[in-house]
Amino acid sequence: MNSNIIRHIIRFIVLLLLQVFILKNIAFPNSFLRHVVLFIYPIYIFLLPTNTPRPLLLMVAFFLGISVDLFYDSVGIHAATSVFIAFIRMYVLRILEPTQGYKTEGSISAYNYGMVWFSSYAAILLFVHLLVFFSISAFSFVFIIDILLKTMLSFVFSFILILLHQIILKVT
Amino acid sequence: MRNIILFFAKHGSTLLFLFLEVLCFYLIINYNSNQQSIFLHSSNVATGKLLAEQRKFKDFFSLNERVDSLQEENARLMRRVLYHEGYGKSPTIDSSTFAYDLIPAKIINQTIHSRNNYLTIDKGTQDGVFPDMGVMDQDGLIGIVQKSNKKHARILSLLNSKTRISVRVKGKGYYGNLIWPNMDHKRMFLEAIPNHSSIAVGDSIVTSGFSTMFPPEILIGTVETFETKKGDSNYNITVQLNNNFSDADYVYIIANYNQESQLDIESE
Repeated sequence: MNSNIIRHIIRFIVLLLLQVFILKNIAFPNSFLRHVVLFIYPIYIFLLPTNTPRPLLLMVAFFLGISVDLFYDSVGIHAATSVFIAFIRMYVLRILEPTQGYKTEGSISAYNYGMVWFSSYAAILLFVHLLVFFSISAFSFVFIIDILLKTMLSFVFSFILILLHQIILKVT
Repeated sequence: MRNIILFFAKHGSTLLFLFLEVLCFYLIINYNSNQQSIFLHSSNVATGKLLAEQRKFKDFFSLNERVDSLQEENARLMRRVLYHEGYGKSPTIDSSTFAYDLIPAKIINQTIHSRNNYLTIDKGTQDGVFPDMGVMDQDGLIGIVQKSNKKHARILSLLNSKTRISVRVKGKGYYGNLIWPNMDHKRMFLEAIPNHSSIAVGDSIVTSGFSTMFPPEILIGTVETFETKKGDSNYNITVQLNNNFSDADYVYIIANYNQESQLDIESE
């Protein structure tokens, strides 16, 4: 149990550092692709075990989001988005429930539930995450085309990153 | 009591969710500035205040850098005082010969990547900032005050299609106009220098002093490239700006005591 908590804390720190020190600085020079924002940190919320108490899940998501915000100079935007997907995660899990049900322990990862299942789960949450994030950033649906464009572009690249993460690391 | 506990047990996480979202949106509204609304109403008082708050937050993370740059500027000024006056004597400013005053201000918002770029500063009419005053920082020109209200002013950046600054090639006496035909934020275009002039790469471009907005001899940049197009009697000169617009933060507004009198005589 203790080693599990330590593992989660280390994952939190590593994903945060990866996000704010590496992905934040990657910008595509292409005038079309410069809309791409790369996200890796939401995977931390995707992976938390099913038996994580909901209040804890929400607090962790808030803390993760606000940490990312501090580095992006965007106080609250990442936090609001992370809390939102932490909240809807339960409903997404309910919709996608595999026939044999969920394991009570262990991360919700590709290693435990299969790559295909994990892809659809991560895709839904990531897409919602990006859509909410860009909507809050723009703060108005007047820019809906812009929001959708950014969401689509960022989704493609971030999704590849998340799948790579799952292929490279066997998260139990 | 029991009902309340049951209610929390049942809906606690939803309440926590709502609480966290409200907290987040409070933070977002207080510390973020919606780029679009800034661009549209930058000098309006409400967004001005919001921007100043955001600026405060950003400043907190870059204090050291700023202290260093002010220290450098101080040293440069101190050297100048020592050179001209000797240590210990305070330089006297005689308003009959030196007609300019500098009002320090802080940039609270700016764009550099648009076709027409503007800046917003935290000083307005109550500090003596009025339209048509020039704006500079320690590295060179920034722009011209376009409009001002009580507490804020909007500055037309040099990086703007409306910019037209009268300049001179330092030490050579050729006069021309500096414009910004949508280049990047480090370069401008110098026109109206005839191609029989002897220009060299690296020549300094300074203000001419013809306009009432800027004193003469303020460095703007250096000649980067120059060429002549066929059939054109003027050079096409690219000027590399001395100023780095992407990290400008403190500026000086140039108040010219003699502006009115010069404009009076010119309009007669």
